[in-house]
Amino acid sequence: MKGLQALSTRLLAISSVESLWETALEEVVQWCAADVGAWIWADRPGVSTTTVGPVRGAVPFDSAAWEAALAQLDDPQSAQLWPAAPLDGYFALSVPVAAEAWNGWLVLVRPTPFTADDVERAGGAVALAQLAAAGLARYECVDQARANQVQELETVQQMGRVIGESLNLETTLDAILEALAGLIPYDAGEITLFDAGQGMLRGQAYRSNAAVHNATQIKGTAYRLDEGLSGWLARSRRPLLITDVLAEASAIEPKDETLKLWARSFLGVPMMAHGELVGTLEIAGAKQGQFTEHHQKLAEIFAGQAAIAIENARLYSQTDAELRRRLEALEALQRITRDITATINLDYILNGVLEEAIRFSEATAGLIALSDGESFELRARRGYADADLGTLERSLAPEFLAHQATMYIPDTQQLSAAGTFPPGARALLVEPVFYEERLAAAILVQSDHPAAFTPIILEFIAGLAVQTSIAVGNTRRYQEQLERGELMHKRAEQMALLLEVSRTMRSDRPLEETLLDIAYAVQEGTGFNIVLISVVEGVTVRRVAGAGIPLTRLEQMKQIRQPWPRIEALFQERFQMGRCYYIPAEYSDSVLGGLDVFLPEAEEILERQPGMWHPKDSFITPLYGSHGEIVGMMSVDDPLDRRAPTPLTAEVIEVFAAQVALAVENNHLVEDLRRQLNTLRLFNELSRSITTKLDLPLVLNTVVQSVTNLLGYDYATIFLQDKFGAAQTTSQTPSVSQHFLPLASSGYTLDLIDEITFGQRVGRVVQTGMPLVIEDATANPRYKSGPVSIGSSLMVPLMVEGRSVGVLVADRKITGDFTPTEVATLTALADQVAVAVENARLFEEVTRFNEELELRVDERTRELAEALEGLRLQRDRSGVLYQIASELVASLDMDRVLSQALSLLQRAAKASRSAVILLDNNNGQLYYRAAIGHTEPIPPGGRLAPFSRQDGVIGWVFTHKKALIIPNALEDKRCAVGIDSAIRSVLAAPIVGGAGESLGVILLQSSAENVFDEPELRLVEAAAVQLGNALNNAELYRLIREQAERVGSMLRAQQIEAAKNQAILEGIADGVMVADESGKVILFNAAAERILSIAREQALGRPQDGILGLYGSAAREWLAQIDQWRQNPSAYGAEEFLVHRMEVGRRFVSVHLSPVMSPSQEFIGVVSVFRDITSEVEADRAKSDFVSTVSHELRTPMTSIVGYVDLVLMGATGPLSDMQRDFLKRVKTNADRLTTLVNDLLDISRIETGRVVLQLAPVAIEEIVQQVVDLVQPKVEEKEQHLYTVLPPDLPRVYGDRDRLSQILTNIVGNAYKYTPVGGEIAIHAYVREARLLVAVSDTGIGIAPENQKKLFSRFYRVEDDPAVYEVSGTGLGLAISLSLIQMHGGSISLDSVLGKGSTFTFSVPLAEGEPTVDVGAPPPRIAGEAQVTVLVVEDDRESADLLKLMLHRDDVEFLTANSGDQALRIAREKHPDLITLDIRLPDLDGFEVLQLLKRDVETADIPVVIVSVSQDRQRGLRLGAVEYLVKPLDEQRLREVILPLLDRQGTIVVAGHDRRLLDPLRAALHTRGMDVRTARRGERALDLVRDVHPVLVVLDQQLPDMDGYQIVEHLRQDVSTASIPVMLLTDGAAHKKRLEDKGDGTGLVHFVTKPFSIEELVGNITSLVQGNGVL
Amino acid sequence: MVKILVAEDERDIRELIAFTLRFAGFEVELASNGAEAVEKAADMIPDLILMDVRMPRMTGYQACEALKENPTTKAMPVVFLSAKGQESEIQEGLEVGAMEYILKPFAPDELTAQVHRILKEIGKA
Repeated sequence: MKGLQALSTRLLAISSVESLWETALEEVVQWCAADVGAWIWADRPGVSTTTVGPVRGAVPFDSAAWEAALAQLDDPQSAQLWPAAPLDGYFALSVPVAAEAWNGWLVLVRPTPFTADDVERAGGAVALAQLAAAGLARYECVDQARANQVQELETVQQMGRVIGESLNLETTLDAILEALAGLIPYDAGEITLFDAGQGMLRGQAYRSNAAVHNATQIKGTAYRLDEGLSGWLARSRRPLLITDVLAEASAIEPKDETLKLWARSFLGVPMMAHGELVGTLEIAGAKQGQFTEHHQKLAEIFAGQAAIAIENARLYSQTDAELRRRLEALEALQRITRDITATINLDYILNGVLEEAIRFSEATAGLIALSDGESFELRARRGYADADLGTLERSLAPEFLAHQATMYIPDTQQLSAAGTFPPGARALLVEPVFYEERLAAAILVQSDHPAAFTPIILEFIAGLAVQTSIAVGNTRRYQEQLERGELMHKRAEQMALLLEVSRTMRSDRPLEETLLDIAYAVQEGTGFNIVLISVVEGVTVRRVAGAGIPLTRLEQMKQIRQPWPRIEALFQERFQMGRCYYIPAEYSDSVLGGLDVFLPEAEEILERQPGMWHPKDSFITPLYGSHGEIVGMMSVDDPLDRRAPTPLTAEVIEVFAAQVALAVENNHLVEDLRRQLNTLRLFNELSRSITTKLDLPLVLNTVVQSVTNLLGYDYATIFLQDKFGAAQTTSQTPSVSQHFLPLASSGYTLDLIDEITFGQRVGRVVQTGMPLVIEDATANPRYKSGPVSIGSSLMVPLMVEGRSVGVLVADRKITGDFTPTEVATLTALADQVAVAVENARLFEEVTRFNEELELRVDERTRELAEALEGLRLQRDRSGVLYQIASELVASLDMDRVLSQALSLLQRAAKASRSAVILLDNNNGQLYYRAAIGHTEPIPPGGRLAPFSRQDGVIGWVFTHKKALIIPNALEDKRCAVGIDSAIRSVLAAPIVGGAGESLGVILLQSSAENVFDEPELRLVEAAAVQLGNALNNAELYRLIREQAERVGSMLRAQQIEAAKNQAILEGIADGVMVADESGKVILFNAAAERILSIAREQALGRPQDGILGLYGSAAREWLAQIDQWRQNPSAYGAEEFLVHRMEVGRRFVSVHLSPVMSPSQEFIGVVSVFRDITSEVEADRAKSDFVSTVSHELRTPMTSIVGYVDLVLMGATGPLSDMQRDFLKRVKTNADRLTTLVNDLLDISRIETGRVVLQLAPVAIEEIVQQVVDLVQPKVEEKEQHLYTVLPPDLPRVYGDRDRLSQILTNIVGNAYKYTPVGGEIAIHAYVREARLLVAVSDTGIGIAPENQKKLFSRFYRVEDDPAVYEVSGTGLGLAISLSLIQMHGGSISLDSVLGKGSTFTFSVPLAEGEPTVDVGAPPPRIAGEAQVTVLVVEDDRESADLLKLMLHRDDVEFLTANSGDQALRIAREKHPDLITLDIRLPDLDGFEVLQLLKRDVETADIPVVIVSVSQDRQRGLRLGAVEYLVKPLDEQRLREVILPLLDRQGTIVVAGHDRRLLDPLRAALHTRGMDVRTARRGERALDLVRDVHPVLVVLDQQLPDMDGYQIVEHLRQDVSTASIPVMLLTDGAAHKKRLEDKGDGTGLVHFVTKPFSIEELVGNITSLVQGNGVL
Repeated sequence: MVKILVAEDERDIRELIAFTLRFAGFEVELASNGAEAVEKAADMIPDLILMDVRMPRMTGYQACEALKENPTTKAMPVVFLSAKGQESEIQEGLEVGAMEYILKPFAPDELTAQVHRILKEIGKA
């Protein structure tokens, strides 16, 4: 106890499993004083043995040997004591231990044997260690799970950061695999990316650890979607977890065969972004079951993150490359522009153009040819050999160049007409160059790769074509001017200026600066004082730069935007001059209308001078972009020469305008690029913020801020489905629609966003899932009513998995269209936002999951803490109990012990007062035996309690033997007695003794309410048990001490007695052998030695079976008997014994066996008594021989006597007188008797000497029965008896001796005949039970008293006290012989008999071999007589009543007595006796009155009444319904004759008929229905029978030999005692009925059954009649 | 007439049997011991021999055996009459060639009835 407690304390303080087991081992080794101790683990991974020691001595410990030995234990679940021999020669003890997940043994070794105590201790320690380990494991488990989850969560959170850090795809993929390894330990992982263009997966990244370094590298391998695990993942877009690769080999296709080389686990997940497949992420493990479903979940989350990172990286790399290409293109274009403006040498320019084209497009060859519309002139070529020129000429066939549109042939080999292409051209691009809408030239580039030219290249070449067109135009115009010979000088100046201009057109300068420079150049170069350049921006035109206009004015003008459509309307054909438009002042008002054009202030309106410039004239040139669209306009005014413009002027202006247009275009391009760069930057920023920031509102705000700051929108708002934003929504936030709420906005404040402004739009976008553009919101009054004025609006949906979760709205103050780029940008942004939203949602889930986890961990921790606390409390209580127990055994001073225990309890239960109250058995009073906190000290021996043991709460607990807690004594009435009024809380527990009797009560009290709780109750109860035990022990101790002496003296006496017995046993002549219940011989006396010729030493301690076995088959029965006693002792009484005789050598030994039973009828052994009966046997044999000889010698004279008497009787000597004949007959009869006696004697003697040998064979018992019936039938008929047989048809044959069976049956039937009176019945039943055939012979004879039944089978026994027996001759040997013969057959005989009623002898014979053993037939009904009948004796004189009872005494009759009429009536009603004897003279009523009342009451009317009286008034009595009238003084015989048959009438039926075919089956059928049937074959006999047995029914055949049915009825009716018996008449017609009715028998007592009828019908009629007996 | 040889050493019984059989109408020859019976049997050729078992000079069994050895008398039916009614004795009698074994004491009419039955069986009635 102490050790266990210490161990538990130590173990509970340990926090590591390993040290726990070590500590437990150390403790148990100390505790059991072992030299070595070890834990040997059977199946613990990594650890097999932990050993401690040798602590002392030099005991070796071979772990391996122990492991092997333990593994071979038959019963490894039990503690095992190891003897010294098997291991090292030391003693050992092994105790099985089951830890959390593994099993093993504690093994202790020392040089001395271990005891049961050690086993118990070690077992206790192991159990405690298991318990502690389990608790620890649970705690660790929870802790580990928590740590794992937290780590995983952190990993997932970090992943976004890690893989989002790089925008390089390769780095990103590697980062993904790296990060995943931190999350899920795998051996090899790969990422494939989906190439949508080719519909293939490509292995892109691979990572493996050293263990699987030989695994195939997959990088660059392409997989089809219909093959391999990757294909499956991509196709199904579902994760795949294979825990056992080999088991699921069928899932692994040949492509993945390498996986099977080493991998046993596989986990793959598809990576999806924006609902599109990005690729697959697959990992494999070398261990089976390496990945779990938890891992799968993590991988799925991870794959989502990875997909976005990959997408971003891809997007970035793509846009990055594209952007560089565009810059390159721009630079090239700028170079060309510079060339064009720097020189008018066309070939130089064309060669430059071709060089740029080939360089940018990476073409293998190219050319530029000029065309005049009909022929071609090759002006520049590159990459072609001179020899190819001919081919080139042919290639440039008119139809080829007359194509007049961009022609791009990605792969010439795909075309049939390959021959017409330039040599070496696989990809071919021909770009036409137009000048003044006519084909002016063609640029051709070719490549030897198919599909070599990308859209960017095509675009670039198209740009080059525009530049070429300008160059060609310039050249042409220059040529024309040259041809005209004018302006040569001016042109040169202009060219110089243009060069200057082109220098200013640097991409890094703002447009306004560039255009200002150009404006000044135009002013200088064209001769107009005023130049104004405007740019088209959407639907308005903005003035950008001007020359010749006062600065302040210009600034003003810049502020004014003019509607572009109205300006555009100016460009009418009638004003056209070249590419310029001249609007004379005359039209100015009508055409310009209210247009704000700059008009210099004129003092007066001048008349137009013909051919001169009017101040109100307008000269405007539209600026055409590379695609022919108008990008702006340049207007000039105030010509220096004051002349109206001419086409020449226009041409000059045009040249400058082209330059301006180029500048604007370049500026646009640069702006576009800048915007694209911004967008890209924005995207990267956003991606990073989205993947790193998981705070949704923060992300959304970043997005809207970026949209306004970086993308040039004025306002931006994000609406989200409330599911995502619910947490951020406040009730004040207006909802745009039922489901979408504005969550972030830039430019607006959230609470200004209203339903009207946004609801419908957002709803539409969500519904369609398509972007919505509103070019001019000013037209819609709705937007005007909004918080701010909106000019235009662009809305894009946020799509997650094909579903709109929100809308991104970007607005501008100005009206205008949104370019496709803008829409695409915003859409892409929206996708990013959607990803962010999704991420946020995932994060939310993860956070929630984490919170739940935390919660659960907290919960578990708390539970564990509680469990530990519980354990601690329990330990404390155990401590208290232990101390109490220690106290209890430490002292025998009960008062001191009680005080100590009580003080411990009081402390433990925090009580303020306590007491132990015990019962004094001598006076039945309760005494305070110990008390703490009470004022009065308890005197030695206790203080009498002032209440009895039934009173108050103490009494209640004492009586009910139940502990209780009363939280508030004021509310419990029981506390009124024995509890101080200051007390509130009470705890009381009964002290119960070993026999369940109350010994006393432990009482704890406190003045505070509600102090005690359930655990304290249990503690006190436990303490009470200890106290009870201690008290019991004290009492026992006293008793034991007292009895010790008595027992001692008894023992001495017993020893003397035993010695005496021993001496007697030794001294007696009979051999005595006593065996115990296990059959071992424990006593074998000298006589037994002598008789059995076995030495005592050989017998004692040996199994008796072995000794008896020496006697072979003779002992078999004996052994079987002992076995039976042993197995079923209760079936045998103490006097049971078996007598057996065996031959031992030449001697005969009789054996008497007797079971020895304990008083509780347990079999505890066998006593065998052997007696040497050799002399008896020899004497017996001599006697037998003597009998044999004598009887032989008797027979010879008998032969003469019988012979001569017979001869004389036969008349051989002449006639005889009657007297002579009579005398001779007597001689013969006696001679016959003598013969029979001699025969019987001979039989007996032969049977006894074993000289009778049975001739055994299968015998049909029916034949035997028939033979006997035939033999006896004449005698039976002579005695008017009825002999019948009940033989079922399918009786099996028996194995017996035909003659002997016949002899047996003849004997028994003969007895029945002899001892059954005239008219009686004899029945032979044969039936099968338990594989034996039974023959029962029943008779209605004199019966045999129970005390005589046993002696019946003894030799020469004849019942002596029955005179009826003496009338019959007999030797008294017949049954003895029959019994012997039956036993020789292996059968038995039994007897059922009731004195005066009859007997049934039943003997059994075994069935012949092969006969069916099923039960057949039925036994005869048992002889009636056991049924209790009651007789009410109504008699006021007690002596008379006693006399009557004495005379009527029969075993089955119960008498009731009434000494008054009233009492008689009452008892008759209550008990309903079978018969009433009624005295006439009674104290209250006259007997006749009583009779009348009895007969009037339905309840009692059917009870037969016999009047027994001194008065002679018979007729009156019978008339009133008495059955008989007897007069005192009584004649006993008469009394019995009259009354006893009346008692038996129940169920007896008399059947009178002469047809045996009717009688036999009827009798059998009625027997089985429990009715007693008596038959008569003559009318006289029937009447006698009816009078005798007083039956319930008489069944009469219509004709009997001596009288007919109605005559019998007549007789019956004439006799008062039979008059009321119902009769059933079996008749063949109505004649009898008629005849009876004529005779006046209308009593209704006669029932007719008309022939023919079946036996069944008849039995049915009889049964119903008898059962309705009460009414008759 | 049917001839029956009766061998019985006790005079009372011998004459009782003789009387009974003659009374029943058989021709009876008597012998007082086994040897005599064997002798007479060869002379008179009886239809049936009734023979006691326990006789002087030659027992019934011996006599029966002797009869069976002689071809002349071999076929003669022999019936034992004996007070020795034990199975072993009866068995022995039957073994030496007797066809019946009649137990003493017997009633004369019983004997007559038995003889009639046996003769009927052997076809001499």
